[in-house]
Formats: sequence, structure tokens, C-alpha cells
Amino acid sequence: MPMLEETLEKIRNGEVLPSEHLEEKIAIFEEREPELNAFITPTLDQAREQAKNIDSLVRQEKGEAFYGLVWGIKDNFAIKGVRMTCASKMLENYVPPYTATPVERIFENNGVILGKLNMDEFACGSSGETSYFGPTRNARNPEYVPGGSSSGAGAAVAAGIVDLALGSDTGGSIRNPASFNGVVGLKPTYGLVSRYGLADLAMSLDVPGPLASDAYGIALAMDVIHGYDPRDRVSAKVQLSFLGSLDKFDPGSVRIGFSDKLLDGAEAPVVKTIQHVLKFYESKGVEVVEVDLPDIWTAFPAYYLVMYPEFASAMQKFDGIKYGHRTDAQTLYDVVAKSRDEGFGKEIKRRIIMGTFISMAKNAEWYRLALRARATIVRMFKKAFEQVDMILSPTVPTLPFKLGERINDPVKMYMADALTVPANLAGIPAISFPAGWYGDLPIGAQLMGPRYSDPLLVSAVRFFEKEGKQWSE
Amino acid sequence: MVISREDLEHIAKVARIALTEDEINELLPQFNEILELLARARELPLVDEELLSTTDAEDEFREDAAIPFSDPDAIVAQFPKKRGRYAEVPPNL
Repeated sequence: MPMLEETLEKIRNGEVLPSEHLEEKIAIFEEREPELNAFITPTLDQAREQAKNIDSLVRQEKGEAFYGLVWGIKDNFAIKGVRMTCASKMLENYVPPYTATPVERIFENNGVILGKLNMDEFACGSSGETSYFGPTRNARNPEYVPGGSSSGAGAAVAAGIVDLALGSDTGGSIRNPASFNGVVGLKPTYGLVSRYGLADLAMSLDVPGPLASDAYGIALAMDVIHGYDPRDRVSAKVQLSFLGSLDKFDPGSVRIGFSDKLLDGAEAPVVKTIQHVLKFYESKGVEVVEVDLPDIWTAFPAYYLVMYPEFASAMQKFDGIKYGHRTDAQTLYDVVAKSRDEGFGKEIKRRIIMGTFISMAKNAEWYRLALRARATIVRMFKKAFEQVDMILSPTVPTLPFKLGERINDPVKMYMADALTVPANLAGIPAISFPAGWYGDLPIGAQLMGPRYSDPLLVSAVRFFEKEGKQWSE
Repeated sequence: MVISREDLEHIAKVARIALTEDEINELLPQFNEILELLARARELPLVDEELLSTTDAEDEFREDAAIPFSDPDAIVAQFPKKRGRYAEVPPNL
């Protein structure tokens, strides 16, 4: 696959027109999509219309920042007039009346949108298998899951159908599919990218972010989509420069933290990959510091205890009255309860009921426990980041697994998130990048940093891409 | 067992989800397995502070002014059942 920078350069200097670039992408879409099922709603006609307009802008040298690069948007972001399903029967026919802020910024910056991407239903899943529209398959080996919940985003970027994808990350939903498909995915600092127009999963954890084939794509995307938005209550009044710092990684001034605890229960190829990455940075002059992360596994129960009640609350709006699926019945109660039973898949019901249980006054102890566990995690990271600039870990402790292997075992499925949920609980940025291969299965490494260190993380990945080599066996 | 069958039926009612018998049979052991796993948090050394969110956005009031929505018809168009411009709601009994 050509590097994103080269593609962009060719469009910029007039060698390739945005509409020609789009046709190349559509050809890949036609070839790979029947197998991958990465899209729920392709928008080919609108994309062609858009690319044609950007053709003329490029001719007038006004096509920045994306110059017609092709995007896919996870189907939990609203685009006015385009069906938005959240991969649920509940929203099978829902057409939003407004556009999400990050999507608006992509349009304004000449990104061509090829369609809405498949995902786990309401972003609940780590395998892309809970979609009402059928599972997505791994772009590197279709017998395997693509990871989730931004399953279509990971697969579409890895297959080269899109240049860039917009995903969302509540407990690893960008990083997990990035890792499983061998692409880069950034979960930004909480509040750095506006959630306006994103269907919420858990309000205190959700953050939109990009997936791309390399660090350059992440930087290009982040410069456009981040920044203050008055329509999102937690939006940060912070402006960072990603492209500006992309090539400024200075190994001599960076300390990477590591703990063997992060490899507990990890499969051998994953362990070898992480050790390989650590050695790489060390050989380039980065100081590797042993950090104490005694509470890292606290994050796992804390995450689920925080997420369930927030999710149950977020799902209350689906009642069969205002929008979405409706099952008719004689009383209001029956309309609501039956619409929800028919409209939601298994994992959604599981989470709503768990969240309702934890939210009940007599069970407050569970929620308070979660809030204390969350505070513990935040303090642990704070202490660690006094000693180091970033922490390296696997993104997922295991290799990608086969379709159907874990779908009926929620506990085993949840374990895939053990190393991605800490960053969401603490609101810190974390990036997953391709660091190794076991046969044709990709292995992702994760870097976590303190709040607003997002550009540094992206530059560290860029440095690995340029100077390092992926591990393989 | 943390949750009994009766508990689950009650929770489902509060959650407004009409579960079928089959769903209850499948979900009940899963809930207990998950809760037992999460209960391990009780044994961990936790700090004595409760944290709700990690935002550093400050509390502030926006201007108290109505901003008209650009396309109210698009909202009405989404009502699954309507009479004129009203969403139809069955009796609340």
C-alpha cells in the first residue's frame, strides 16, 4: 500500500485528481467488501459528488487539509441525511437531523466520506461480531475477528478501502481493532475531540479518534478533528500541533516506563513483540524505566462497574416513541419494553440489565466501589508519569481470535480489554501501532501518556516506523 | 449467587426490557459469573476517594438563549408513529 504522504503529495502536485483517487478506493471496496462486510451504509454517490467538487478546489490550490483523501465513519456518528444505525436493529432506519462535530470538520477540510462503517452494536464488543448487520472480518485473515468495536474502521483501513477512519473509544474500541488489523489507532485525551453527534456508550469514558495506516495519517487527522466545541460539555479548550511535532521525537529526552506486570497472561508472540519494541527504543537512546503499576488490574472490574450504569442510562432514550424501532402494544409500558426487547441484541440487554442492577439504590455499594477503583487508577498513573513520559504495553494480551470463538463467553471476551480500559478510566491518551506479526496475524503495541501528550505518542510511533522494524515469527 | 431469578425479572422490568424465558435462562448464570469477577475489586487496596470523571472542563453557564434547530421537520420525520406533527404515545396504565 502506498504511504499516505505519497498519496497526498500526488494529489497536491496534480498527478492524481481526488476523483481518480476515489475511483481507486472504490475499486478496492468492490473487491474486498463482499468478504469483509466493513460497511453498513456505503455512500458512493455522495462521495463521487464530493470528490468532483474537491477536484476543482485542488486545481485552485484550495484543497487542504485532506485534498480528497477518503474517509470511513463509524456508524455511531451522525451525518445529516445519512442513515445511522449504531449496528442495531433499534436504529435500522434512523436518519439523523444533524452532523457530528468531527465529521463536520472532515467535510470542511475536504475529506471524502465513502460511507458508514460496521461496528459492534452500540459499540459494545471487542470482536465486531455483535453487529445486527453481520460480523466484519479481519482484513489480514478473514477467518479471524477484526477486533472491536470499531471493527469496520480497522478492517477498511487495513484493506486500503479508506485512507482514514473515524472511530470511538470507550474501553479500547479504536485500539483493539487497530491492533488486530495491523494499523495505527489513537484514543485521544478525554475531551480533546468533541463527542457532539456521537451516540454515547458511557459519557465519562467516550472519546472519538482516528485510525490510519501510519502515524502520519493520525497526525493529519488529529490536527483537523480536535479542538474546543461549545456543544460538548467536556470539550477541552486546548489546541495541539500533531503534524508540527510529528518528526520531533527526541529519543535522548524521553523516558519509557515498563512493568513486567503488563505481560501477565500475555501470549508468547505478544510478549516477544513488546520486548522487541522496548529494545528498539532503548537502542536509540530512550531511557527505559521500571515503573510500579500495582493497581493496573484494578482497572478491569472498575471499568465494567463504571461503564454498565452509564450505558444503561444512555440507552434509556430508546423507547419506541421518538425515533428508532417500535413494537406496537396497548400500553406505554409494553410499547417501550417490547420495542427494546426486539430492537436490542444480546450484549446490549446484558449491559443494560447489569447497569440497572448497579444503579439501584440498594446496590450503591457496587458503584461506589467502582469510583474508588477509578480514583486508584488515576493516582497510579499520576505517580508513574512523574517518573516517565510514556508507558509501553501490549494493546491486547492475546493474538486475534477466530470468529465465533468467544462470542458466547462474555467474560473471556471482556478480558481482551484489560490493557485498554485503564487509559479510558484515567482519561489519558493511548495509541496502538503495528509492532509485530505472528504469521499473518498482526500484533499491536500500546503507548500511554499523561493528559495532552497525544502528539508525543504519535511522534514516538512515527519514530518506530522510520527507524525500527516490526517483530515477526 | 448474587442475583436470583426473581431479582433478574425485577431488574428487567425496571430496565424496561421484556425478556423471554430463554433469555432469562441464558443471562442468569452469565450475570452471576460477571458479578463474581467484578466483586474481586473489593479485595483490592483502593484509595479512599470517589472519582466520577476525568474532565478538566470547568463548570460554567452558557448564555441563556434559545438557538433554533435548523431542521425540526427532520426530527418529526423520525417518529415511528405519528399524528400530524405529534408522536403517538399509547395510554400509560
